[in-house]
Amino acid sequence: MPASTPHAHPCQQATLPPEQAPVHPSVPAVQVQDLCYAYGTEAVLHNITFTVQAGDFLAIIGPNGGGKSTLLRLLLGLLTPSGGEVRIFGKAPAASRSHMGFVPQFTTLRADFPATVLEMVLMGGAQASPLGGGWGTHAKARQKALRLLETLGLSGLAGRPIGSLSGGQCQRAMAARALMAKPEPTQEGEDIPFLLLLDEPTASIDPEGKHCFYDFLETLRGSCTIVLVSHDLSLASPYFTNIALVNRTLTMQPSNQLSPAGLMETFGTHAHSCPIGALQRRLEDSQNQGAGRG
Amino acid sequence: MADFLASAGSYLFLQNALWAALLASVACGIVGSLVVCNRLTFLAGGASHAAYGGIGLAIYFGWPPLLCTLLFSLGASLLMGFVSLHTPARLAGKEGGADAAIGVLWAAGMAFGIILIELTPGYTGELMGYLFGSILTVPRADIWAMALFDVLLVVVLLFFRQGLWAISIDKDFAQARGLPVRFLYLLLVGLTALAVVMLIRIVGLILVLALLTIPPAIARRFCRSLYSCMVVAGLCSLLFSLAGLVLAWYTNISSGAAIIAVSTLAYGLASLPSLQRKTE
Repeated sequence: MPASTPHAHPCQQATLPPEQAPVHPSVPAVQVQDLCYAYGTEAVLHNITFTVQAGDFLAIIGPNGGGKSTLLRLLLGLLTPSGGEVRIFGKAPAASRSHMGFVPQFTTLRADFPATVLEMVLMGGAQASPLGGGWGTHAKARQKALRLLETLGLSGLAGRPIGSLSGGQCQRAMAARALMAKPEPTQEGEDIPFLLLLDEPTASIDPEGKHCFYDFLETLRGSCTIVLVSHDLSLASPYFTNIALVNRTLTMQPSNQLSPAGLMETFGTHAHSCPIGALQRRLEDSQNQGAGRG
Repeated sequence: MADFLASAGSYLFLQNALWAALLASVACGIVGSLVVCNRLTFLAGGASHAAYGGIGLAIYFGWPPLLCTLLFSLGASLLMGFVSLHTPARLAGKEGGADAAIGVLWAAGMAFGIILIELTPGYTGELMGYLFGSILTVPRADIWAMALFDVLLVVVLLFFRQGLWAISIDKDFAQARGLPVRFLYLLLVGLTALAVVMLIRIVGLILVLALLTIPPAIARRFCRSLYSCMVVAGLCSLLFSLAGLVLAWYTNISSGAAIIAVSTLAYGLASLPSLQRKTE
């Protein structure tokens, strides 16, 4: 967990309006303006600007090393931008943590750690505090955790060690953990805005498992805004409302389908070693899959 | 065995040894489990060997050995922890990464201690006790210090149990939830340094790594929660220390080496495939 202290970067200053509070459903879930980030002198992201409206499902796709995970960490407030600004529901990311859930890469979880699935999911309710933070283990929290596990098809696994889960099961358990932070609807039944961020969530899941996972994410669409990053080109699908391609810069795609021009622009460096025909075939395959499911 | 028990009732030094084994087991169970689960074994090794610098300082200047060793080991460990925190994961295993820095501090602390001891005029003290431990010569004052440390350890664990648990299972997620991951990590590193200094009295700085890792490594095979792992590791540590002490008593071999021999044998038995299958 290295702390990143970015060097100054000659980016434009952000021009977002002042912070708004409290969170209101009409406020965009994510506002990113002229965002730049550099590791030392190595620029990773340059002049990234985009907005995600509440309820959208944005897929951020790009090659390895293109800055996707860095962008996600900036959205989470774990890194300080070299330039520009990030707002989550109109506030700085650190001030919006109670409205954010995070599913990190599968490999960040120590699968050999002695803990049960239920214990791991309960951790999702963690709140920061001067004493190191904590989460509830009372009956209400356990009920919520068990309900989430049931929703994700893991109800019988609550007492199992996390090390005994398959990759797909573990990924779903991590999603349940992220959703523990999701506030309960108001007394009027209105959902409180919530942003779910996922980092390569299907990297360790087989193709069938991927669709099951996306089917689950689809059920959250009404109550959550979802931003997912992946290097998987086959992700073009009707699940997403928007797709953005990231490789140092960000290009929003005009629809929820990948375009050959956008692919060439983003994966251009890979295209030298990967014939464009193969890239296009993968694109066509993914679009056919999307059409088949749509 | 009856002879050993009769002697334990008569001799103060043997009673001190039993108390030391009990108190060290508490630290071993708690800190050892966190060290193993956080994969901090290399850092704990660095802390134990760097502690030799503190021993050298204490001997050269005539300062209290326990306090001096403790502060020196704590400083070296926090430096190692700081370097680890500020090394990007992609560089961790490469030249200039955290492993290299820990290795440098590991060797430098030990070399510093040796130089100071050699420069101490007329010093003819027994260094083997620091290297391989001498549980039979632990003074009563050290027993009280160990008891105090155990109390501190339990209090810290009670206050920070969820934070330490969180960084042990998934640092990225803990950080995303706003938990003070860096502080908790340095707290864990600091506790490790303190435990290492305590255990040096029992098995010496060469073998301390084994006592800090073998009992938790055995416990983790049979436990489903971190806290049960701590309890079982503590009990294992106590059992191995007592068995090693009895073995050393009857065979007149080094008590530290005897404790590690017993621990290693137990680890081998726990690793047998038949036992593995039963726990899966």
